Amino acid sequence: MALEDFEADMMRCSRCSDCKFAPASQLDEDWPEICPSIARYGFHSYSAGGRFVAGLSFLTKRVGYSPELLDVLYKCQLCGACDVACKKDRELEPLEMMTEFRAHCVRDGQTIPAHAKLIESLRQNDNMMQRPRAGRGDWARGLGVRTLAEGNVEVAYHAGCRLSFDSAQWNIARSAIEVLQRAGLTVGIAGDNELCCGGRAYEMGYREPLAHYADQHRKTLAAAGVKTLVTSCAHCYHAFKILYHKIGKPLGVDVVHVTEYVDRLMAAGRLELTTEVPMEVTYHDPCHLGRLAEPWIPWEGEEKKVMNQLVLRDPPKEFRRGTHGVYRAPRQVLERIPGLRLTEMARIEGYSWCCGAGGGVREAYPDFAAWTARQRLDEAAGTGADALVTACPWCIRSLEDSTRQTGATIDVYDVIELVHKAL
Amino acid sequence: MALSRDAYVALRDVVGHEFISDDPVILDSYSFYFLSELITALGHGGEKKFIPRPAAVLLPENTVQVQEIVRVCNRKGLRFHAFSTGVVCEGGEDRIQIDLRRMNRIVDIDAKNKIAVIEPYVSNARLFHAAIKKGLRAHVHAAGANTSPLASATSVGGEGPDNPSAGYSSRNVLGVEWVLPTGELLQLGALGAGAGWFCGDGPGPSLRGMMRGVFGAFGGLGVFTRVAVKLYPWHGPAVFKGHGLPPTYDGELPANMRCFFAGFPTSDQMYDAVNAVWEEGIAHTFNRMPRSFLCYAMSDSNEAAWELWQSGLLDRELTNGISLILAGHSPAELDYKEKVLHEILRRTGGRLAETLQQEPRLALGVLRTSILSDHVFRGVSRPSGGILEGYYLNESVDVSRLSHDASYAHTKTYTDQGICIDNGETNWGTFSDIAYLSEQIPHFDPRDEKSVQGMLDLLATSYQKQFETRSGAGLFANIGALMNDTFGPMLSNVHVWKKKIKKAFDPNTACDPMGYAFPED
Repeated sequence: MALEDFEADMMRCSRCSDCKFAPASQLDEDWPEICPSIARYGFHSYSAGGRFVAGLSFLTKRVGYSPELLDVLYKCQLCGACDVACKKDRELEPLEMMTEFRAHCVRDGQTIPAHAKLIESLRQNDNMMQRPRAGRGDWARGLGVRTLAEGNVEVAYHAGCRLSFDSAQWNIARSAIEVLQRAGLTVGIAGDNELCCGGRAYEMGYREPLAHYADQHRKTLAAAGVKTLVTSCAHCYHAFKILYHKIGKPLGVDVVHVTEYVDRLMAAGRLELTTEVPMEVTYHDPCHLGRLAEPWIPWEGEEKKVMNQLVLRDPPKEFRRGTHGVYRAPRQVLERIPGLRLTEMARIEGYSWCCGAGGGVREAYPDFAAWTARQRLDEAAGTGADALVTACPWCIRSLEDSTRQTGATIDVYDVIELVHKAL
Repeated sequence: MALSRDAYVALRDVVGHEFISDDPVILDSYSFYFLSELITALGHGGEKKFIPRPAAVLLPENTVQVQEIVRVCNRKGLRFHAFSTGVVCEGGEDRIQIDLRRMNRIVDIDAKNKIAVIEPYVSNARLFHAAIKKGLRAHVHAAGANTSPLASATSVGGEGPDNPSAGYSSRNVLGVEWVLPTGELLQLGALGAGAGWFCGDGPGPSLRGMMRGVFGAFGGLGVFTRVAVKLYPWHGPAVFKGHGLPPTYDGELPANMRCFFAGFPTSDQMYDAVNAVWEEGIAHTFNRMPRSFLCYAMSDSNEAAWELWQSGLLDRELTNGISLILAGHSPAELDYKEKVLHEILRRTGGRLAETLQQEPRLALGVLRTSILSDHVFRGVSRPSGGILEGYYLNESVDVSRLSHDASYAHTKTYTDQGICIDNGETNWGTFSDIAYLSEQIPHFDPRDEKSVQGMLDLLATSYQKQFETRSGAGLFANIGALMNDTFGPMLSNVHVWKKKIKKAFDPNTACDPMGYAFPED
């Protein structure tokens, strides 16, 4: 797709503001907003509807590249809440348009300095953490995990850049391995040879890394005989499962998030949790595991009209509306932990509030990321829960950083850490 | 028009640098409306798809800041226009756009006196969910879940399917906090006498007629920063939320409510039934329901809508159709109202839509549309991207009866040319204590130049026809300075009074007159 392909959507946006607020039937009067960008910056341009107008303005050459245009485009986590809310009632593609607009910028050499630096590092070191390649597999020391290089690995575990280099979170990856081992599985990892998924670069507008890493991962997994790829990172999951399909480079293996996998193991009676974890928790849906994890639905066709002006698509297009995101599996896992009680926040599932980290915001606009995380922590604290639990290391980093900066008192955990406690 | 440096600094000093912008990227998002061509045709200038950019956009936080902005505009010879959650942006290159987004507080819900005090950016949906927790509800206008009850109460329109039980917006406005075009603060009704928000007409000054009349001044008489609206009893659950997944969240109709769909052999019989339902006072919500609208609003996609349309089900069951929700404070009251409805249908020749009655999801959808203004944009924007109100009547049922076939015939000359969707009958309607509302709403495609131009022509000709046949006044006939001289003489010379009011309230014409009137010469 090109930016021009969204011109019809730009003209048909009716400024209904569905992209700003939770769906009317689900809205909570204390937490009505779903889009961090418009909630933080206020001007209409910082909403999906406003970006449709910016796109039309750009295409008709009313505006050109400017720091303000890049601000409008990049002060957005691409969390997709607007997309789900818009498509509740409309057939527009705000998220795809915004993603394409960024790619258009990058192709024209209009980049954000913080992102450009990251991408340069990615090209040199194959990770998004601006760290040397060596030591990527240190998190797994002492676990006795097989490496993919050894071959004959049916189930591979991908830690991702954040978990691999954020030593404070190594416990999450290690817990995941130990939980899977407890279920009797032999799990393999790439260790020091693990590569970035390319997903975050793609969101920043850089398309090539995603294609490159899709090819690399496909080769590595095939050589090791991998059938199932498990990851704890919602961003990697999204890249492997959705984005690789989108660019026509599927991995050819079953891609599952660790919460889905544990849910399956429990349902099959292969994993039992027996230790009480007496906590009241609330669950934060990571955007990339929730609404954005809906399988990619390829469509190629054209618009046609019936009844003069009723817009249809030929062949019919199934819009991704957030219906099939991974919402149930992590909750089912939590519900099976003895002694644990799950309390929901106001904004969940398809209209969940973002942690602030996505879309390159953490890297380029850390104050905006922190503000977004703080909103979520306040919402979580309002439930009375002892802890906020989630299933993505980027969410955890964003939320934990915010707790430290703001003195928030709620604890933050990954689902798998609580599963590990309950073994 | 670029803002002078000293004017920019003066405005920035009021709101802070984060909350003012004169950058084109920001301004353009206040210069687009899916039918910008209409705004341009009304004399606002502009080019394809864009009306002129405002000179700057500001995001004030409170009433004091709004007053200061208005005073700066008066001092510097600038014009301003305030805007909250609405769909239609009016822009204008010499104007300061005041976006009231940050003024979004539910100030108070006074359950004892059944009053909600709200700021401009509180939405229909937000007020609904807050009020029902206290066993109350506000009137919900039909412009969408995210639109502003304050704007509807003070400035723009105000009809909704719950009119029969909760009145039209102009009937629900109580105390008002109003920043006049000079920057003075005026408090209307009891508020003006220091007696609280409870009454719009006294013991303090009552200016409701000047403030909004029937349609409202569309931002032409200053900025409304807080308003109290009436609340009504809600006997449903304290939390009325859906469950399940997008795009359609499931749920249940509250136990004290029932939904009915009925069709009639002729439109005359349907209007007989409308009269009877009105007279008997049984409706909690009422929709004169064009079957195409039901088709769009209650399907998850255009493809599904098209399939439903082609099935013929709606032709069989909902020709000349109505839908209504009955609510009872007790099961006996609900039973009584249902009996009355059956009797009305028996006498007027109507029949319940057997298949539709068996669809709980349809009933839930009608309820959400009627009391939350949910799914409105499924019905109005999803099919083709845009709608227009052609014939617009707020008159007696008998006048609507006369207009019904004429408006359809008029629209058909355009559907025959492919300009708009061939919806068949398109008159949506409901009634309040003041009148029966009927809106003819054709769907067009904002991307299709022929469709857009055809719609503008339809609008102009339908207004003319309405006046010729004395069957109402198009929605925009009373809106906009440039319409005054054309249509004012046909509307009891209302334009003369609007000009006088404008002059008295706004001696410097600081508040954008385009949506209302230029002052008296």
